[in-house]
Amino acid sequence: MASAAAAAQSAAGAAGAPGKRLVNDVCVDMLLLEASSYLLGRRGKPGEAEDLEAENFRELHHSAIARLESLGWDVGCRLTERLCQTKLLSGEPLEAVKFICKDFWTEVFRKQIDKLQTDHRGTFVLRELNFKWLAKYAPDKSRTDRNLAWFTLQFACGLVRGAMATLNQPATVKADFWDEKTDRSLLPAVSFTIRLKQA
Amino acid sequence: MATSGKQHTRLGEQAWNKMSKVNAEFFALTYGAMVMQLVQDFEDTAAVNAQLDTMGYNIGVRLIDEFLAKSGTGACADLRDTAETIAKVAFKMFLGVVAEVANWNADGTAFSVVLYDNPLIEFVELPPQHCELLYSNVLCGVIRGALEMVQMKVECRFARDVLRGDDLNEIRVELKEVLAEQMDDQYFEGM
Repeated sequence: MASAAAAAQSAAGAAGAPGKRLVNDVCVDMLLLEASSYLLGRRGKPGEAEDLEAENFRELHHSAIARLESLGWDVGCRLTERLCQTKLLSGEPLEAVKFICKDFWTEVFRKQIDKLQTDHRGTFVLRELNFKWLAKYAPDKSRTDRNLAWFTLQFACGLVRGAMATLNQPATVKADFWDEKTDRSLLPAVSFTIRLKQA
Repeated sequence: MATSGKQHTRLGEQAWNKMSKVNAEFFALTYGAMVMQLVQDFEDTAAVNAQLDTMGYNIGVRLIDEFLAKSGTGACADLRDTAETIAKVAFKMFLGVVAEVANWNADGTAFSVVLYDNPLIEFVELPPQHCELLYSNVLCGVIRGALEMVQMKVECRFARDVLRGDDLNEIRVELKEVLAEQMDDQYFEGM
């Protein structure tokens, strides 16, 4: 049984990347773009594109934002379930976060996250220096671009939150690319803040 | 025809090798989550199918630029050339799988793209209440949208679907009209 699986894997490896099926990056980009415009368009009336540059974008589109985040949550849960079939975790929060930084991130972005910081009291900050989904919005552009980039980012927040939940570490996840001190965009760098929910 | 088929396959391989890629499982899960969202939003399965086709169309009209820029293919000589290019170059370049062209009609205006291996449906089973769902209908929209940008108006539909119990996936493409090349005045001025 084990040798058959190994043989299958090496056959797949010979055909390309080791054991993994791949698709073009563009497919995911297009899918996210289309899902985003579907969710944003559905709630607003047609032709209401100007509200994308609104300052209160986040209030106007709170339901689309929640829906995109929950789409990410769903994918994060399922992907983590699949990844964990072959991996045992101890149940420590730090280990769950490390799993997201390494295994999970590699699965989705083919690289590890660049930097992980923690205060050892349930808050973790993950820094990704080149977040490829938002590369096209970088750097400082119009407010519409800023809003759309932030919107797309909510899918990634959902992914991380879903992964944490599946690893039995319920948490809140926020992400931003705005540096409050200098009031400038940090794109394509993005940081995620994970806060464990107190049990 | 055989030699040109080989050439398409080679172009497809070359384009695929140049692309930056992502795990197909993640892509399939994300697509699945989106379809589930649509199923929740629309009561009627036909409306979900139509929405998937529309989303595909929107993707297709953008994707053609990426294709023309990076695939290394030139203008197609005829519809047979177009069909082979879709199946062997475009499917390979974007989804990493090769499709086959089959079932030409007598006057050479309709063909099928046969997909043995569809990365979208890796984890999918259709529950009985959604047996009318055309899960991968987005692909029809993509082909329709992309071809419209190169002046071909086509109709696309899923003729056979593995998820609905068929042995393979077949997308029927029917050429309705070749749109006249529209040139702006500015092009003439430059000539």
